[in-house]
Amino acid sequence: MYTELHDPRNFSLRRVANSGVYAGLKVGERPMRDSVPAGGICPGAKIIVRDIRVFYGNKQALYDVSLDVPENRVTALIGPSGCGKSTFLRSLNRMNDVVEGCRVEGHVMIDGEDVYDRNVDVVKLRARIGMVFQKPNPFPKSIYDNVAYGPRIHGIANNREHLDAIVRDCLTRVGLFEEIQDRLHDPGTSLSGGQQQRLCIARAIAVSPEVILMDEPCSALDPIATARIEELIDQLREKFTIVIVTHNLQQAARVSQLTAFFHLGRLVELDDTERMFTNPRETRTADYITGRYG
Amino acid sequence: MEHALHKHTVKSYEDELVRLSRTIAEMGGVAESQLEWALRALTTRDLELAKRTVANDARIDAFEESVHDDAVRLLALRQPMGVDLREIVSVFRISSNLERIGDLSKSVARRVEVLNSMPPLPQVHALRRMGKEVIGQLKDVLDAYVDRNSDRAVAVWRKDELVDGMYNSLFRESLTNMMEDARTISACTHLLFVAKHIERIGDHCTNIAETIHYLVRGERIADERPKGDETETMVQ
Amino acid sequence: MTDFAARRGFDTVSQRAQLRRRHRAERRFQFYGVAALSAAILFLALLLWTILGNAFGAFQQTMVRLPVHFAEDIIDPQGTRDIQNLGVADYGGLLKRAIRERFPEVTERRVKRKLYDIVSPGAVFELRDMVMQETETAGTGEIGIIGSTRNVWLTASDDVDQFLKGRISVETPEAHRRISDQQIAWVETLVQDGAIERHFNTRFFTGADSREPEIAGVGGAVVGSFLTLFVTLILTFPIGVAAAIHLEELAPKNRWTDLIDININNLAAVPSVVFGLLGLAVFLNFFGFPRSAPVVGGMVLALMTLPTIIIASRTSLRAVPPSIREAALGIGASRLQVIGHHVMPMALPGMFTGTIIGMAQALGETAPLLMIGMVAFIADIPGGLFEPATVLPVQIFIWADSPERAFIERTSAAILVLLVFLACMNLTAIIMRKKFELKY
Repeated sequence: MYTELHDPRNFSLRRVANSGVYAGLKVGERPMRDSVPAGGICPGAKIIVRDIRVFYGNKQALYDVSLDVPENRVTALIGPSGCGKSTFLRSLNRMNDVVEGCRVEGHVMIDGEDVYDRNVDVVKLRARIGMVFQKPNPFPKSIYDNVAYGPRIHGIANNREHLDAIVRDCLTRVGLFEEIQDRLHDPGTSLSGGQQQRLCIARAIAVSPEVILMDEPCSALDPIATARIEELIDQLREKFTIVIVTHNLQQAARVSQLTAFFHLGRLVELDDTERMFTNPRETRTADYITGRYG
Repeated sequence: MEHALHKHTVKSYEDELVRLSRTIAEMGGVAESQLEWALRALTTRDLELAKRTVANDARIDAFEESVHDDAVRLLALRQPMGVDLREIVSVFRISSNLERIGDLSKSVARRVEVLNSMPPLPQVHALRRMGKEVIGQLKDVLDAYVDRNSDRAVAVWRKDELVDGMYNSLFRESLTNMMEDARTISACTHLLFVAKHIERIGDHCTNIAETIHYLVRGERIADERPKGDETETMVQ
Repeated sequence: MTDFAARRGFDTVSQRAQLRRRHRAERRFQFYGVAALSAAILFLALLLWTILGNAFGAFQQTMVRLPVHFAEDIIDPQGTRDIQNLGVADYGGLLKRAIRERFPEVTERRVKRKLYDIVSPGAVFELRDMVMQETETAGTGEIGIIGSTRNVWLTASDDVDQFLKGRISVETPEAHRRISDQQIAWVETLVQDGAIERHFNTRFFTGADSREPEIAGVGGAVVGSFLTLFVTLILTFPIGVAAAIHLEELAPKNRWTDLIDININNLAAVPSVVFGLLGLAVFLNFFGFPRSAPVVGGMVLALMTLPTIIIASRTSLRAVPPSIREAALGIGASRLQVIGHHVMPMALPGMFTGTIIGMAQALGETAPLLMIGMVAFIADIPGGLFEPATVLPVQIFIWADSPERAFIERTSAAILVLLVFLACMNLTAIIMRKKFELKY
């Protein structure tokens, strides 16, 4: 597998050069053009994507996307609707598997392990790569059960006390515990939109994933709730690697360290967020971020 | 980033940005004429013109205020990104540079009255040459701004050395003059200040050039800035 | 409005006319809706009124009081008090003697037969049941019923019943009515004596079918319907839900599933009698199941109901928001866990509703059951799934077909029972729905 990756025919060097450089850097540090590691794989990458192509039936949604997601960073995926950013996000934890007629080619590696390998157990994979969705979607169960569901099905908790501790810890981490500790057994759907979304994040982190994928997590929330989620994302970055799809450019600018711009199923540009929003390299990116698109 | 960008989807945003940029150009034009008038008043000993120049400075200040307000409003309401963000930032920087140029021109014009009361000095010719050069630079840099031409801006930036050289020689000349004839010290000092002002205006043009480069290319000029003013260490 | 319109320049004549037309059209549309609804309500009320009016009589039964001497020489000539012997004794003779004694003036044989017709043939069984029950419960040494004379309330014949309920008019020429002038005279004597009363008709609910309307009941049909529907439910709910889950959640969408899809939808539209023919050919002729049995009826109705339940279950599965599935998948639940923990609990109320609707449809079905022999005259309440039985709609059909006047009110009453049965099922559906409903 690595030999395939090292084969220069298998991926575009420019993109790898584009992506690999940033992974090991601290936030705000300027990348050096000539520090591209040989073979294009950078040491700090949690997820390495190489030449991924996704098809829905006969329609190709992603064209040869290669991208390295650095560990303990927030990587934002931006781009116009239908540009493939959500498809890309969903191919990281194989959520596309359940989509009828969807086919994925190429490699997605998490810690060097190919996600699309025949032997990979999807259930375990999704426990490693959690996901938060656009619309807050708590289960129609109690708040407690929502968070406890993941640990239960994966057998993470040893006993009742352990499970309680996990639930409490996760709710505390998303800043929800204080607000709702006396109504843990109310239905999750009784919370406000922002609280529901934080509950969903708590549910995702309850199985201690390594990566959290977020698909427009704030698009249904008001600015205050959005700000809370953004603050939360910033805190979570310490423990998790986060990939977030967002339509809100300001949000991408606020929460991410790395930004990838997708257009028409291709990765157009990947850069430091700071640079992306002040001086993007590509005209298409500039058009998009300055509101000149189309 | 040399490729032409599309227009903004929101037309009023596009219009506001264009208007802002136009105001800067207009402000630049006023600053330019202020400098021109001040120099003309100096060389032709025209006190009337000098007074008009001093009075006219208020216009530039008003320009700066309105440009600042507009820029702040755009920042707050449009959340500009990328080149638009650089545009706004450039507006702040260029407008304050132009305002300084206006101030310095006013200072030049203010000295006309005193200088008129003294016999003319030969250095005035050198001063006029220097002023001409700086006006040319200011013109160039404003054209570069209007055309978003970073190459032209860099050319201006490089030419600042020339002005510095002129200033150095004028400084030297004045120093010699003063030592030879102590009666000229008063006039020479005034002239030296005028020269210093003009040299500062040159520096502001360089700043504007740098800003234009940043605006167009999104990065600073890579070279070290040529340092031409040696008068700090000059002892004759 | 005119002010506003004028200011905005909406005041040309044609524009105003158009506006008026628009408002008129809207009012007309509203009127059509209300009219249609009113017509529907009117017809429903009419239907219920007719049925209730007709059915009312069936809940009351005319009874005749007769002093009966339980003569030992007729009931138990050997004096053994053996239940077996008591069961086969000549209660007919006992009854006839009692009637004769009540009207001693009648001597002619032909007239006597007319006299006996005042009391239902079922009265014989009433006497027998009375004797056997009392003998069984009585302790030894007690005097007991045998040998005593008692005033007994016996069921009157349907003709007397109908006459007293005013359904047979005296004005009708004697030749055209089922009750003769002489019989009317006897009845009137009895009425004057206070020997005729109307009692609540318990037998209608507990009894099975009979040729004699006065002793026919829907009990057998209700039990038959219940058994049949039980079989249908046991078969269709698991199969239907499993099929729906497979088609909706698990099966890949390809030409085969499309084909199955189309066929299920078509099956739901197949005339029910076809399923009856299928049942006749397969269950009776090929597998040799007993005729008229609830188990076969249930299977045939299951075939008919299955498409309905599959379609309803699929619809309710489809109504579960995909975000819930995504949430569960995203946390690492397997497909089975997604279905078992999240999709099913949310879809279940809808499935229940669909099932009950299918069951209600099956409850009202007659045609397929005719094909498998459930139309037979069954005078016993079925005791099990394999015993001959009939069901409510078939019972209604049989009664509606019978010539006796008294069956008219019984038909209506049976329809009423069927409606109540349906209402109970729907109520169950609503309760189940409320109980299992998960809010999202």
